[in-house]
Amino acid sequence: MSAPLPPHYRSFRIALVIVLVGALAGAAWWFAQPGVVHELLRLLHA
Amino acid sequence: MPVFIAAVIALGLYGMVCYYAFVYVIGPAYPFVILGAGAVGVLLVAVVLTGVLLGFGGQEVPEATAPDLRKRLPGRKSNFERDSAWPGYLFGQSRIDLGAALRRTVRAVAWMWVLTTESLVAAPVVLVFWPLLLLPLVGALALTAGVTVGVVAVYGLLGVVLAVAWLGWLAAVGVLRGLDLGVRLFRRAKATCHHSGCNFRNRLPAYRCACGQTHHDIRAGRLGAFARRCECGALLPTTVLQAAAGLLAVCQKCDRELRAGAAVLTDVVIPVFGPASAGKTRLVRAGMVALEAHLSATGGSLHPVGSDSEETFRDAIAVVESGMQTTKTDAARPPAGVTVALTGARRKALLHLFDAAGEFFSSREQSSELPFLDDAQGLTFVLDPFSIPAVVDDLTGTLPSWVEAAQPAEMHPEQSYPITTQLLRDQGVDLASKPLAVAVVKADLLLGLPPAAGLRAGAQSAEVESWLRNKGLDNLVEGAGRDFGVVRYFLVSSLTAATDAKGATLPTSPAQPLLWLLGRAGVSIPAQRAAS
Repeated sequence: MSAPLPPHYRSFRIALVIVLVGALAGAAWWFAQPGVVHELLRLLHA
Repeated sequence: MPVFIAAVIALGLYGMVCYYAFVYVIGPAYPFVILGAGAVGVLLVAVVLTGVLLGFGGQEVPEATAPDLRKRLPGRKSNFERDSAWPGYLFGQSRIDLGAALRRTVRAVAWMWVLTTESLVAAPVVLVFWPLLLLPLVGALALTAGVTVGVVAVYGLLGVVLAVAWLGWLAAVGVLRGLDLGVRLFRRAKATCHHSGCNFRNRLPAYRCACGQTHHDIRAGRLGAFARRCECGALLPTTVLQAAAGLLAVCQKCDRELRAGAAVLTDVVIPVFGPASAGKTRLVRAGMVALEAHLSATGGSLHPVGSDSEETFRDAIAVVESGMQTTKTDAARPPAGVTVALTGARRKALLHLFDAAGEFFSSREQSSELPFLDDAQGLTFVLDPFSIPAVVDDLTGTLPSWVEAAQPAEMHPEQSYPITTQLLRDQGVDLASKPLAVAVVKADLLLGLPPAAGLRAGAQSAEVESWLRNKGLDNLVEGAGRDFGVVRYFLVSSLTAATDAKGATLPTSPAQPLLWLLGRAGVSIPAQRAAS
């Protein structure tokens, strides 16, 4: 018997994507803090 | 010589270019390349995963079917395969999605390295500009490192999210199952198969979806916590209490339809046993009618459940009202149960009455064909006083014609009783935990005759017991007392009116043994209507 995947699968996937986007946004916000990129570049230059 | 000088100059220039490339291009640029490529690597992980989860950019996961997904679930102890329903996302699909995204990410990185290597192999001359090639190499290495970090971070994060969701699922399933079972235990609910020859009894019936699929374990679990989705797409509940409200309950053993209310209402099974022609069918039919009258008089009600029970109940009313003879019970096969729903007591209940032909109780082999005896809440032994030799001996003169009119049972009570009880004991049935109602029937014929001296219409249990001892049934009385937890004796008339002029149930009513056994099973019915 074939039937489309249950709708709650999509809900779960969307929830996972929201978590993922949230985590990326958090990481981007952290990078955007003053001095973080400069500090990383300084470490790489050293 | 000029060629040599030219070569030295060219080499020097090449070395100088390389030096300046290091100093002015590679040196200043590589931190930015590392940061940028690393960020791209992390983003690659996120983009591929998002594409797989949302199904865009040709990243959809190959279509899975419910059976495919169920194969991924762990095994379990059951006589049945897992039900035809979609597993919850946590158990069926999440690993497939994350696994597919991870494989595609790894393939993308591998493709990048393969492409780079093939380009160098195809055009090795570009190696002349090797200092400049260091930048793409550093970028590729940083991207690979970014992907690695991204995989660990992103999949670790989603793993934690799924683990938290799993804990939530575990708690929800535990609460739902506990509440569902707790309510049903409190109600003493069970599902009894009334069909002839089956009579399987348990707490968890199967439920049939509208598409025809049978779900053998509807409870919350890996196929759904709050609801499950049948393979046909229909949404089904995950508690027996909810399922009983909208789905068809079927027997786990014979796959046939159960009565409405099975497994959610208090369930009482009362078999009637005794020799052929003792008056079992008459007692059951008249008992049902008298019980209905008693419940109506006390503010309750009784309704037959199922078309066969309705037909039996109509027939019982006709037989009781007309006073005509009851037809002989079919001895060719075990009986189907007659089910009535009782309301108005402290709780709703389903009462299943099983009335097998006396031939089934005439031998041990035939009694073993009656599975409903095994898990009954109480039993009723029908004792025909006209089958007691001492009673027949007391009937002298013209009185023996009474015996003929009584159509006495074909077997002595002390022969009939042990056949069934011994079988139940041998089968491991704990008789000591069960009540036994001994119904001395045909009181309408017996009372007033010489052998009934000492008996009266309102005789209490002890008086009936004493009378039976006087008639030589000491062994039966003592055996019943030893076998069962509690025994009560009733003098019953299944032919005369069961109620008095005020509508009160008489002591000789055939409803009395049923009322007592129902009370023992937790279904207390008031003796009379409470004053308003």
